[in-house]
Amino acid sequence: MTEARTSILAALRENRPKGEADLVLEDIAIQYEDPFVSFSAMMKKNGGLVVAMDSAYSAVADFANRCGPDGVLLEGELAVAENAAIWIPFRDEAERARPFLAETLAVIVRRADIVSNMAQAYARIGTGELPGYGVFMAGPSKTADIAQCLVIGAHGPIEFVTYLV
Amino acid sequence: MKHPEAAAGFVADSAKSSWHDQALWGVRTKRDAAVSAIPEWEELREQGARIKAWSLAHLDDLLVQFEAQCQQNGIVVHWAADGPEHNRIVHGILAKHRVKKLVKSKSMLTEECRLNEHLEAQGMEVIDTDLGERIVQLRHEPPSHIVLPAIHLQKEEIAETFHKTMGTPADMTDETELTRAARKDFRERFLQAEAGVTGVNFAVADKGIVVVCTNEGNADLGAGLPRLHIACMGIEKIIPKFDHLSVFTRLLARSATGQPITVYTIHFHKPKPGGEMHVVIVDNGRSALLGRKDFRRSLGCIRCGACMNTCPIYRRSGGHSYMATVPGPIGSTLAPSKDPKTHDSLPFASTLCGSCTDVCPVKIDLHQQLLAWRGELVKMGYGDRKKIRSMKLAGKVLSSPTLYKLAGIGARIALRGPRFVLPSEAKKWLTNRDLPPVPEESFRARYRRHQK
Repeated sequence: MTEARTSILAALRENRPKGEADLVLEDIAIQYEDPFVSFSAMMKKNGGLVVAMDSAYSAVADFANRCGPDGVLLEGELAVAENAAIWIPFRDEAERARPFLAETLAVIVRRADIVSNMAQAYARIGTGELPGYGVFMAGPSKTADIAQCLVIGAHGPIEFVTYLV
Repeated sequence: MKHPEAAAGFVADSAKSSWHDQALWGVRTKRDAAVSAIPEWEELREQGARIKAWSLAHLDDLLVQFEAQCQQNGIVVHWAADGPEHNRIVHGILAKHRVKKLVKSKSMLTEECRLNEHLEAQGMEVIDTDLGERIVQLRHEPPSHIVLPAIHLQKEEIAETFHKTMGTPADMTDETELTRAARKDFRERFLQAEAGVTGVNFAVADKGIVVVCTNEGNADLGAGLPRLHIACMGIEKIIPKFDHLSVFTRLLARSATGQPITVYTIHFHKPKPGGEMHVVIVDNGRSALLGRKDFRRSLGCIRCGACMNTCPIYRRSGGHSYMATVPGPIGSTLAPSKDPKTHDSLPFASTLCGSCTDVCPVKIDLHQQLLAWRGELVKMGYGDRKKIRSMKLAGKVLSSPTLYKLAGIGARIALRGPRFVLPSEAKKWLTNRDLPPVPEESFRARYRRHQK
C-alpha cells in the first residue's frame, strides 16, 4: 500500500465530521400517467427522433432504409420518461466506441420498458448483473461551446432515432 | 493581482461584458425552466445535500470500499497526496505504455494539477477534446467556466482561432460550420490516440463504478477507442450507493444547462476487453478542508456551474478574473482554503445576495461561506486594508447617534455637489451608474416634523 493512501485515509479519519445521522431516502421522484407521451416529448426536445413501430422486425427494416450502411442500430434495455434517457448496456465483448463514431445512431426500445424516472431506472438496473460498460443516451450529441449557440452533432452521432416497439 | 484589477479589462469592454452577462443569464433561465418541471425539486436538492454530507462523514470507509470493488472488477487504483504526485502517476502509466499522443475529456482536477503542462514537458501530445476546452487550449488560455470553458469568447474570436490553427476559411463564423470543422479535425486525433484521460463525475463505492457525463460524446470516444483509459478523481467524488446516482443525474444537468440529463451518462465498471483502466484518487488539500467545519460543505460540489451562471459578479467580470481553477462563488470559497494569501480578494467578489446558495443542487451554503471567509482572512491579516479601515469607521459611525447624524448631513451636502469633488473610491463606483437625487431632509427631520 502506498504512502499517499495511508496518509490520506489517516487525515480523513482525523478530520471527518462526526455524528452524521443514518442515510434513509424517501421515494420522491415524479411519476407519469403515460410515460410514453412524456418520453416522446422529451426526446423531441433533446433533438432526437421517435418512431413508433409495431414490431422490432419493422424497426430493423425502417433502419436499413433510413440510415444506410453507416448507421448503427442498438438495443436499449429501458427508457426513462422524465428525460428521454435510454439505458444501453455493453456486455464485455461489445465494441464500446462504435456507436459514438456513427453519423446516425438508432435504438430499439420496448414501450413496456419505459419507466417514469431515474430512481426507477437505477433500481431496475441494479437488480441485474451490471455490464462492464453502460451508457444512458438521451439524443444526438450536442454542444453550445461556440457562443452558447446550440449545435446538434459534436463528436458523437448527429442523428438519433428511437424505435419504440 | 486582486479580483477587481483582474476584472478591469473584461469590464472595460462593456459590450462584451453585457453579452457575457446575458449569455449566462440565459443559461440560468433554462435551468429555471427545467427545474420547474420537477415538482419535487426542493426535496431532491435536500436528498443530494444529505447524501453528500453522509459521504463526507464516511469518506475514508467509502474510498476503501470503492478501491476494493474496482480491484475486483480489474480496475487499477492509485492514490496521490497532491498535484505533482498525481501528475507523476499519470505520466508513469502513460510512459509504461509508451504513449506519445493522448486525448483528454473535461476534468477540472487535471486543470488544478496542471497535468497537460507536465505531460507536454515530457514530450507527450495532449489533446483536450471537449470543444470549449479545445478552443481555449488552442488559444493557450485556461477555461473561464467549468461547464462552458470558452464562454468568455465570441464566435468571431473562435473563428479566428480556428482559421489560424485548423486552416478554416477566415470568414467562416457560422457556429455549425465551425463545430463540423472541429469534429473532422478531432476524428483523426481520436483514432491516433494511444490513451484516453477522463475526469470523474461520480464514483460509486458499493459497485466500483466511475460515471462520466458529457454532451458531446468525447469521453466516450476518448475512453472507448484507445486501449488505455485513466480516470482522475478528487476524493470527494465518491457516493455511497449505485441507487444514489439517480439523485445526482437528476440534479446535475438541470442545474448546469437546463437539460433534463446530459446526452451521455457513461458508467465504467470494468476495463474494456483487452484494455486497461486506471483510477487515480487525489487529495491535494481536500482532506484538510474536510477538517474546517465552516467550509467543508464546499466539498459536496458536483461542478454544475449553476452558482456561476447566476452570480452577478461572475456574469459581469468573467471567469478569468478569479485566477483560480474553479471560478465563481464555489471557486471563491474553495481557493482560499488552499492559498489564502493569493486568493484573499475572492470572498469579497460577491454581493452576498445568496442567489448561488439558492440554485446550488446540493445546497452548499455558498454566500455564508464567503462571508465567513471574509472574517477568517481579515483575522489572518489578509484582505484589502482600505476596506478594513472603512468598515471600522462605519462601525463607529453606526454605533453613535451623534456621529451618524453628522455623517448624514455631510453626505447630503457632498452628494448634492458635483461628482468630481468626491473621493476617488466613490468616483470609481459612479463610473457606470449614479445615485438617485438626494432627499431634501433626513428621515429623522421628517419623523420629527410629522410628530408635531
